[in-house]
Amino acid sequence: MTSTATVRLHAVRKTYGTGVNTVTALDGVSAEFTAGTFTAVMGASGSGKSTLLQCAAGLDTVDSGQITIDGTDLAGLSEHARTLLRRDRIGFVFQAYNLVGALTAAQNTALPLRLARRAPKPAAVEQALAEVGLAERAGHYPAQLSGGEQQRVAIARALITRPAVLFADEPTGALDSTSSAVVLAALRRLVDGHGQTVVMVSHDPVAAATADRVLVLADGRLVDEITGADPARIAARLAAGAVAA
Amino acid sequence: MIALASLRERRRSLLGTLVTLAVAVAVLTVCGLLLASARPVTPDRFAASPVLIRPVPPKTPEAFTEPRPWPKEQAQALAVRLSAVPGVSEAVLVQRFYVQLVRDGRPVAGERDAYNWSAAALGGHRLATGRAPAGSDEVVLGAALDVPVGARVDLLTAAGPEHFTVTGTVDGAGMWVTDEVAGARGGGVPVIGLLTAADADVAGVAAASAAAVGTDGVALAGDARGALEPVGDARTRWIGMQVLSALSALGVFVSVFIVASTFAFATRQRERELGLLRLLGAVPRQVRRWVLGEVLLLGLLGGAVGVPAGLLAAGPMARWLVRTGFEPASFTVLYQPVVPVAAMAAGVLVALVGAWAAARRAARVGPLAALRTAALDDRPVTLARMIAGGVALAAAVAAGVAATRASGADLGTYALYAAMALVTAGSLLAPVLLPPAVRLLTAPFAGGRGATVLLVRQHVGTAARRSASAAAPVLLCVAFTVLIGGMVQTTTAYYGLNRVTAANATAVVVPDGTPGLSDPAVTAAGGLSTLPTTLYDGTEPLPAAGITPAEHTVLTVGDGSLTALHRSPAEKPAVVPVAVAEGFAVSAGWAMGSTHPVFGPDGNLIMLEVVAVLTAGPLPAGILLDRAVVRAMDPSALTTVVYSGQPGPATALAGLGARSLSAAAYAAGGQEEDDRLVWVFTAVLIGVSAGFGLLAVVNTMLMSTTGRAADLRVLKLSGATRGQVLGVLAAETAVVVATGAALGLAVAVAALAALARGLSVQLGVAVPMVIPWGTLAATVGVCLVLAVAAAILPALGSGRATRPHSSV
Ligand SMILES: Nc1ncnc2c1ncn2[C@@H]1O[C@H](COP(=O)(O)OP(=O)(O)O)[C@@H](O)[C@H]1O
Ligand SMILES: [Mg+2]
Repeated sequence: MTSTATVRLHAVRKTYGTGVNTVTALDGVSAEFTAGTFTAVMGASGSGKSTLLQCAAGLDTVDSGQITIDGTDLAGLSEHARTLLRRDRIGFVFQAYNLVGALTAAQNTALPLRLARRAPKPAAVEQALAEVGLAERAGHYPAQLSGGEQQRVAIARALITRPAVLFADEPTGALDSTSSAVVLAALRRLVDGHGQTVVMVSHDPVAAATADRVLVLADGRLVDEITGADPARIAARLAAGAVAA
Repeated sequence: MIALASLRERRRSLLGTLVTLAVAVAVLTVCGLLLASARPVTPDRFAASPVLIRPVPPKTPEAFTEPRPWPKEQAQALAVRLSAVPGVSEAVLVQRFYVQLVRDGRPVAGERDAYNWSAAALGGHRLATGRAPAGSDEVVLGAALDVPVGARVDLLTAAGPEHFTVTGTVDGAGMWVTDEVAGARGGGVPVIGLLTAADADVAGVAAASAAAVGTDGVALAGDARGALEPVGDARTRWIGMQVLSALSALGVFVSVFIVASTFAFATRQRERELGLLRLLGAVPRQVRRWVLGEVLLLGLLGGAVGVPAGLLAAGPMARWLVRTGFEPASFTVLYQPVVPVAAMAAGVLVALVGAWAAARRAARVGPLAALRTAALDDRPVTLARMIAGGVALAAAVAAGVAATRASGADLGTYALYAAMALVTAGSLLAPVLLPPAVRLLTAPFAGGRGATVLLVRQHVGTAARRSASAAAPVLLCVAFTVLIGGMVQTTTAYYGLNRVTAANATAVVVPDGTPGLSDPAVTAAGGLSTLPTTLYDGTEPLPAAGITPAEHTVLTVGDGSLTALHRSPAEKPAVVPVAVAEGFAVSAGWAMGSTHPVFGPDGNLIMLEVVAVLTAGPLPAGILLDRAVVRAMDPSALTTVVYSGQPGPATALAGLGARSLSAAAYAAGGQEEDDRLVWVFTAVLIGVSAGFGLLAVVNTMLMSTTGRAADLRVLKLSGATRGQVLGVLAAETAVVVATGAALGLAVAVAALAALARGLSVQLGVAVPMVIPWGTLAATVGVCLVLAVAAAILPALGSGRATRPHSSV
């Protein structure tokens, strides 16, 4: 319970559906994400990783438990207030790049600022694109970019508001290993160079090894925490967990 | 910026909306200009008289009857008083009666009244050649008729053709006889025209003459003199107004409908994009503002195109209205600047109203919509939508009921309202009706092994609202055309039945180039007929008709006796015997044996005595009198139609402005001016609604396929050939069109059945419901061809392998 925790989850429960169709996606999860750290969330498909991310980011509501972001309790916030909180304090990157096809890379990057009615400074947009190594592709439309490049535009866009925390859900899931490495390096650089807090979902041990810490989910519960491990050890721990379960 | 970029991106799918809005604004501009221009014009024959006095008009202008004229003595007394008004140099009594020049055995169209020669001064007419009429068989003709002085001409009057000698010609149009002849034939005095000194103060003269006549008349000056236009012109203009109002209403309704369905569709297809914007920090209010901003731009753009188009089209449209008879010949367009401004504003308003629901729905899209991959349309139909559908259905029933009571152009208007309400109801309820309807339609093929039926059934079934949006314009198209066409045909059948059953006739003699039949034409036709005229209760007209004992066979007496109708005036000189329809007797409170003072068509007060009350059957008027009595009071009265037992003697009718028709041909309608106008009205409404509807069909189908590019790519990747992909698209479209058409037909038939029932009850004879199968087949066929073409076209273009577009 240090004051440096940017995001804190306490006993979070989340179910989908009703009656016999009820699925418990999160079953009493408590976790903290400290400022300037890079956390990976791993687990089998359907273990609740995406749900955890969406709830932590205030995209979805929880059944019970408490979530605070940058000291603000999400419970009791209106949709409008939650939107403003997300807009100012949180960045997202998803497996699908989610760029607006009608806008150029630079325009996509500047979009959150425009939505917040803040005039985007060309220099800031340029810098955000430069941080992900895409300075010279600013005028290109998404359809003219590769998957890795599109994902890096999405990261630049997530960073333009200087958020307290960046959530990434399988950001390399659709990329080949070379593109993945570039994207992961870009994320690592953000943590090391700018003190950015990053929470990333992945099921790839190589990706997870880029993080400082790995949380492992199974059936909506936190079952393991690995720090400072390499891909091989992470894979081994996951396999051991799977056998034990 | 986002609205603009998004508009640019989706310009193809929005083109249809833009065209719709532009057309709607153009229609509104044209209709607005024409409606604003449709005002009565002072007849040329009164142009030189700055102040005109006429009797007090009826309180209900829609009756389209002349106001009760002054009896000649009263008019003369008024003229004496008016001559004493300062500034008035002369007060001229106007007398007129029915006359048509016959040339080569045919009545000449145009002028249908002759006037007293003194009244020529009111139009500023001066003799161009010859001299004024002096003898009782002398006439002065307008130069427009092109008859030389000294020529002998045949003039058709209510008494038949008569020989006249032309003694002079004047510039302009008209026919003038001596004051004595006009006075004897003209009955009452309909107008007193004042001539003033050139420097007279017109307003002062008008005020002073109004005071001089008191409650006996009204003084008209300036543009107000337009009130003296012929009642026929006023009636034509009124029908024209109905057409234009209906067109405007249709334009507004269909554009709101199309904008609404286009934007509902677009919002569904853009859910992920909107979700993404919400994810990136857009608040709901912003999303709503974008959608409305987008539609505002479209509305302005549509107005920018539609207003000039409307301004250009107004002139030709005005000429068309005159040619078809919806406006009198004096009609011209007045270009008032307020009209285009209002049309522009209306276009924007229409766009905003249409997109309102879509904008609200867009604002409710949550950020997680961006993360959903499949577009499963699983939201149930909301209660509000069901309630709105039910309300629209109730409104449709109400309009349908009102339609059964209306006639003529009114009927068209009600038919239209009913169709609008039904279409709204149908498209609101379509998501509920569509999946079962599709399942039913495709059930016979469900057992097959092919993929097409499976894909079609699943797609239409799971995306009910989306498919409903696609089917809605087809529903609109089919319902409008079938309902309007069917309503007119059904009611025409009704009126035809009404006419023929009335006399059990095999042949019918109708006017041919004349406003009615003269007495010799009636005699030559040799059948049953009436002589219509107007009596007045105070200022209010009471339709009446003269009959002979021959007509008694088709009348059913409830009380009293019809023979008393034809008793000699000597028997009871002070009263005129009448028979009244039971309905009229009840509503007016006229009991058997009672007496009532009314004014005759010549303005003289008479006393009526009810000697018979008639029950059942359609009657030509509420009050029936002896035919000779009517003729005595109304020398210009004309018979509308003669029903006869044998085919008409064609030779006997020659030169009398009449012709004989078989009963069947007559019942089929279209012979009378009103029928013809209603038919043109119908054709215009069907044309415009079908045009709008087809526009919407093409638009939605283009959007639908464009929005399914990803789906189709997946289908191709799963091994479908190009032909199979197109086949699935075509089949899907055909199913949607077929269901839309079935729903459209269902609502139209429901309304038509109600209409036929209403008419049957009114007439007491079974009136068959007429479904215009030809119209139906043509509409569905055109819808199908256009829809399939529009659905396949974008898919043909996307055959090339392209790099996957960004995920949004
Ligand atoms: N919108 C939803 N409706 C119903 N069930 C859902 C929904 N989203 C996720 N689930 C279920 O919740 C569980 C956790 O899902 P998710 O968090 O997406 O897992 P992961 O990202 O780890 O693969 C799964 O069993 C999934 O089927
Ligand atoms: Mg997931």
